[in-house]
Amino acid sequence: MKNIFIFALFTSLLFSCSSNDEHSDPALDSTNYSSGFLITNEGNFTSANASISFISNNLSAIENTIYKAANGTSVGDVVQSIAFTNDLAFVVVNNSNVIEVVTKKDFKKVYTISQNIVNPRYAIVKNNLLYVTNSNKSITIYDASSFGFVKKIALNFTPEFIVEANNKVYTSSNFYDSSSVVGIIDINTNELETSLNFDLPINGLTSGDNAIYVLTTSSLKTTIETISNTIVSKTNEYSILDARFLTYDQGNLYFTANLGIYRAKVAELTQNIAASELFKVNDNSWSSLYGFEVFDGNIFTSDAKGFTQDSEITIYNSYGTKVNTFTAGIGTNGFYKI
Amino acid sequence: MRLFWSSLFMFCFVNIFAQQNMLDEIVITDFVSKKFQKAQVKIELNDSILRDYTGNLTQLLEFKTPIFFKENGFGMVSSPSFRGTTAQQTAVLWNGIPINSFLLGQTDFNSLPLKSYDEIAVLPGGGGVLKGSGAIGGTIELNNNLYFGNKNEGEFNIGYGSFNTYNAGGRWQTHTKKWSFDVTFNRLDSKNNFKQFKKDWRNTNGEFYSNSIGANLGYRINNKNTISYHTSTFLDERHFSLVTPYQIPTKYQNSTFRNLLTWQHKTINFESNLRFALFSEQYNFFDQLPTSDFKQGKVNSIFSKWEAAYKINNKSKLASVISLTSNKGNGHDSGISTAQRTYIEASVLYANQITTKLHAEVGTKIDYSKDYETPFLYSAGILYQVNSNYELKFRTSKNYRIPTFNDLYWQPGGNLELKPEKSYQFEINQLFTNKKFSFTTNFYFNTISNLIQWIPTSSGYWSAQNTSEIEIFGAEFFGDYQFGFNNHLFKLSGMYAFIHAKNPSTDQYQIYVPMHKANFGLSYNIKRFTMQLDGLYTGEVYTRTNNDSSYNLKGYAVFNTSFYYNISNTYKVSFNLKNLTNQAYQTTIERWLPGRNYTIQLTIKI
Repeated sequence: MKNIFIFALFTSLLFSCSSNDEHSDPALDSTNYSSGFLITNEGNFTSANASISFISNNLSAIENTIYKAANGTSVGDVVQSIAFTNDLAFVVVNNSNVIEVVTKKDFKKVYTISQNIVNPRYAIVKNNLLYVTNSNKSITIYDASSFGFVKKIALNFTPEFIVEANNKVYTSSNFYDSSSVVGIIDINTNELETSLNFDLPINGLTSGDNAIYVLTTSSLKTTIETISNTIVSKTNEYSILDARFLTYDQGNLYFTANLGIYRAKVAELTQNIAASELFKVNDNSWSSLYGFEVFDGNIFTSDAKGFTQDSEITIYNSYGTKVNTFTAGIGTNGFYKI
Repeated sequence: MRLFWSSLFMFCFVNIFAQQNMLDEIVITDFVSKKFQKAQVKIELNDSILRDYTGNLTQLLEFKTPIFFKENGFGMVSSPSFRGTTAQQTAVLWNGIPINSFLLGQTDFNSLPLKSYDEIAVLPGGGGVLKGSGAIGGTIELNNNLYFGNKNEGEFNIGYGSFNTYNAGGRWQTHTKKWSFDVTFNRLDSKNNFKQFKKDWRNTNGEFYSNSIGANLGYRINNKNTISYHTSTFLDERHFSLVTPYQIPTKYQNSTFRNLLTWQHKTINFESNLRFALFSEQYNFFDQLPTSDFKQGKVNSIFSKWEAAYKINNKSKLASVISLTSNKGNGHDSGISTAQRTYIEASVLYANQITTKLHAEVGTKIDYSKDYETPFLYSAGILYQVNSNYELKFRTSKNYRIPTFNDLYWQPGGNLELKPEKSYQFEINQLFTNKKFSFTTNFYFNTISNLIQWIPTSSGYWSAQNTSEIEIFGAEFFGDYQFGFNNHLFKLSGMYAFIHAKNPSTDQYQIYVPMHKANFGLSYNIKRFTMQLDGLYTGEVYTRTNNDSSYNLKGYAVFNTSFYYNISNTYKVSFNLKNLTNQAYQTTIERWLPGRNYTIQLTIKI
């Protein structure tokens, strides 16, 4: 009996050694991500399982985990957003506390920006400078070619979204910040030029037609504020509650509230015409609308499926007809056209 | 692989070490469970196991019981999964008082000082009627006993291990016929900078320390009455290991204070135990190191419990348990600014020794709380002593878990509409014993509904909701065997657990539930020298609810070995090698546990 026990023990040692094998990722064929749609999958917080997906220009195919395929490692812990130059993508990895710089063409890593980064949220490139919103009430600026740190702008609110228009960079306060403000930065001086305050928390910021649009919302009402240069030129109020995800596409503003997709025509803002609900996404249980974006009239949505399995991306046309559905990664939170 | 483990467990059998007590021992834990919950299986880890063990509580339970632990790395947060359930579905009691965090509903097993307890009992399966909320997968009891007799001795230990880990502890016991007193203290401190598997950087920001002190004082007034006071203080600070190298470091400070006063009264026909406890738990979470910004949560609790048992006649007994719990919580920069909750629990139990071989028991429980509806709980069991070598048990129960403070009151996302989770269970156990050998089999079926989970809503924040249900069936086999010749003494033990846990509406397996888990222990003693070899196999687990197996965590086998040598009656040294085969393994994604490592330990008895 003792012999059999020793045999069993020996077998187990063999097993434990052989289980160290690593599976290498299958090598991909020639890749080019210069044209199409990039998708950020934030992953589970503190699990470093964020990923990036790519959908082809004709919306027919998806390629998942393109960063890992190109670089052999996970992109990190909570990918929040991406900013672009002509050749580069700046992947903002919130809880990894870095910005991974990759080439658009093959997604190979070029550099990791970490200096003065504090739980970064969103970024934008303007005049070859990368502007990053950080969770410690600051915007940090980097050279978009050499990646060197240029400057830090201290704010009195926690910045979230960041967009640009008319040689100015606009950043809005985080939804949970105690103040509701849009800070306007003059890109010639890179100083905070002025700030605009709002009544309700900000849950969306976008630019189009040389103007900036701000979505403020609460459980009572929603407004879209139009900023022209440095002043609020128009306020539109809607009896829609808890709206999210403001975006501009082809003369239209789109946003969501609960599971509904809404559209307001920019040309009609001055006439105070109410935003119309285009359709509702399917209620697949929880987190049915975790990511949202509109490109060329195609509405990209994601169902995060409770963050316990891969998200499902559904692309609709503006009538709510499904164009295609894809399985992406954990927690799909953003879509980018490149 | 499966063949290997099934053959292995047939040859090794669980150890149930018999402790030889010269002293008169009084067990503080519910005497009601001893008499009215005989049909529930119990795995006892007594003083002699706890004193000699050189690992922490997580490791002890991993290697000795069917419980699977998810660990965020050595010394980091450790949560149990008992019979396919979650950490919140395991009740943890300290001297009969529930200690799962009121905020989180679970206990972090790396914040419980193993050496502070005299006995640890693990009760698999539902125990809601007596153990209260969370006793779905099972119950873990951490007990301090009172000893009356003449004893005056101390034991001190110091140790050093890999990754700059230091520990020091001690216990002083003074017992007389009237008084029982002991005090324990422990300090654990580690740099915890182990080399991580599959990463080119060491475990960073993983350093931690903990200090604990506990004391137990008992006074036997007369043959009928004993009073006691128990206190436990635990303070720790743990930095949380980075997942990615540039991540902002964080750290967590825990402080718990527990104070318990008991009065035990016993006559021939009547037994009573009155308890009154004051608890405080507090955490400070520093999420932006090196800044001093922190988030804080704090709960103060008052707990009182009265257990009484009455012997109706030689065959039948009746018991009642009434308890009142009142919690008050507040937070700093947290989702709870202030919250308060009071609830009352009441149980009635009846046991009947129908024949000398057949024992039957039933129990019911009701609760009252204004914040959530509470289900009616029950349990019923039969114990049939077929002969002196074979015992058969059958048990059914309904159990629950009440929503935590965070589930109810956290803003945003807390949900006052939550229902308690509820669970129906059936179980059959068999125990075969003789002088050298014992073998136990447990077969169980368990359904859990109204599962409380935090899920992202379409409004963008996460919220607590009653979501899915689970159906679990499983089997556990324990065996042990002891034999010796001349001066050689061998003890063999083994355990195998099979768990089949699925969500019936999706027909997918539960995540982080290993279908197979096995462990074994082999100990060899000759004169002053003892050698111990422990093995653990955990099967692969799903990490995705759609059961995409490409994200599974692989199964692993880990072996630890220890050598003990008694230099004299005063000095004892031990050397321990952990993860002998340098197995790369993780129990949560991206959290590798250490490779081969060692500790040395010196124990001095005075």
